[in-house]
Amino acid sequence: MNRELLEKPFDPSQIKQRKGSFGDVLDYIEGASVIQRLNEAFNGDWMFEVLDHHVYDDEVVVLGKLTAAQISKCQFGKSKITRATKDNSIISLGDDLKAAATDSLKKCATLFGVGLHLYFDPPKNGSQPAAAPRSPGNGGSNDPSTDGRLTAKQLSAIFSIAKSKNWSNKDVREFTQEMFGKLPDFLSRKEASAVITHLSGGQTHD
Amino acid sequence: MIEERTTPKSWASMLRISKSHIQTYLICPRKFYFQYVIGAEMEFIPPSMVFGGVLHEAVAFFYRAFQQHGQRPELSDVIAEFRACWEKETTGRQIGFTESTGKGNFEGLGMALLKAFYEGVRPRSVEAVEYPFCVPIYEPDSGGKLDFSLVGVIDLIESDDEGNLIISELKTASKRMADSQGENQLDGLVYAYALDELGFRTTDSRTLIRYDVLVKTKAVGFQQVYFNKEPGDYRRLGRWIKDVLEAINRAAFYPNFGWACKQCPFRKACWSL
Repeated sequence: MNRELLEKPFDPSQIKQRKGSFGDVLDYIEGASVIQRLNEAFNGDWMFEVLDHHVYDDEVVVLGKLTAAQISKCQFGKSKITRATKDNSIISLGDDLKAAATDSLKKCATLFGVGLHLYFDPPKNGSQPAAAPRSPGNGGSNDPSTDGRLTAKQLSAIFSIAKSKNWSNKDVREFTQEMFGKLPDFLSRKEASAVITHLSGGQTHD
Repeated sequence: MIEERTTPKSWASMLRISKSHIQTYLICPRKFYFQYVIGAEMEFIPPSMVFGGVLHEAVAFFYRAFQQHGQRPELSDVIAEFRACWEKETTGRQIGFTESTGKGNFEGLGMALLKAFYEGVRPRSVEAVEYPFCVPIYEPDSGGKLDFSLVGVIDLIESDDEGNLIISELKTASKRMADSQGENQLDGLVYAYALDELGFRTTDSRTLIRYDVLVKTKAVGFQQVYFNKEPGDYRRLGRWIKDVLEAINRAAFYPNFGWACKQCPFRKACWSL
């Protein structure tokens, strides 16, 4: 498996941004770019299946499976149901399911390493895995105006979501240390966004 | 009695800075990085850190008993509290004792210091013991509120017969505190600012700080030194905090090689970088 190619950071022009649930900005990659990367890495020899799907009141959820080089990775994908402003009727459930399937494919691809760098630092000079503690900086590399230390709102959101999942403060500390090699108060904005996203969609911590 | 308005437990979800944060950063930014940013495990626990903590516990016990019963507890009870805490804190932990500074040496020193404290201290009315605070910090130029809160715990707040408040901070030192040294201590400045923000002062604008210094000289001693803090000092503190926060936010974690390296619990990790 060509991990180098799979994990290769995307070109900044391929990285799009959207607003997160907590007033923060999240980076994402479009489905087409992920498919292109899978094609390059596996020479087109990969398969994606929808194993299950559910339609709830406000969103659709799809369980997908991505298989390549005899290895399979499963992940959920979701999409909000789009409704008409006029009468609140569903516009196209099919389109919503397609969006959820694409989301599932992207999540499965992340398990192969595609776009993983987005969870870490901004890809200014290529990817930099952040799970291990990095060397302390000298103050010149971190521009707070673009991705400085997390905001008070983000920190509050992290602990609020963690509490709702029965995580203790210690659990949160251990989690951010494992994920980014830092204690929660010193995450960058992007790292905090990744933690919030993970906590929002993750499993309960029993 | 001053009512508590915050608890240290509630601070985890806030952007905050404390006296310890500032002090650690000023001593060595890289130590700050190891201790607070990545939460690295200490290579050993500095005995002086445990010793200072246990002395604080024993003195807090003294003041709580005084507050509750209106009279001093027996010296033997204070020492018993110290010994029990010392035993608890040093058992099963990897503390960096040496031959010359062993567990027993510290225990003997602690008892002697507490005796000096007991004989020297004249407590007034105790308003609060180990009082936690969480107050806003302001941008020194624009006056705008920063995202960060200043948090900490004040050792003791006393009041005189007229109800005027005095902040007291316990310190251990290897020599007597000089006036110039006391004037520049961060502790008192931070605590006076916090109390001022909470609406408490000694006079209309000033707050009186008393350092109770346990002096670890051959013949141990107890010294009390007073200083006043006022709004001009708080402005200076505001700028100080802002500068430190900006440096931290820019990840300026350079090492400050010097006297503190010898006892630094991150020395191996730092020197191997």
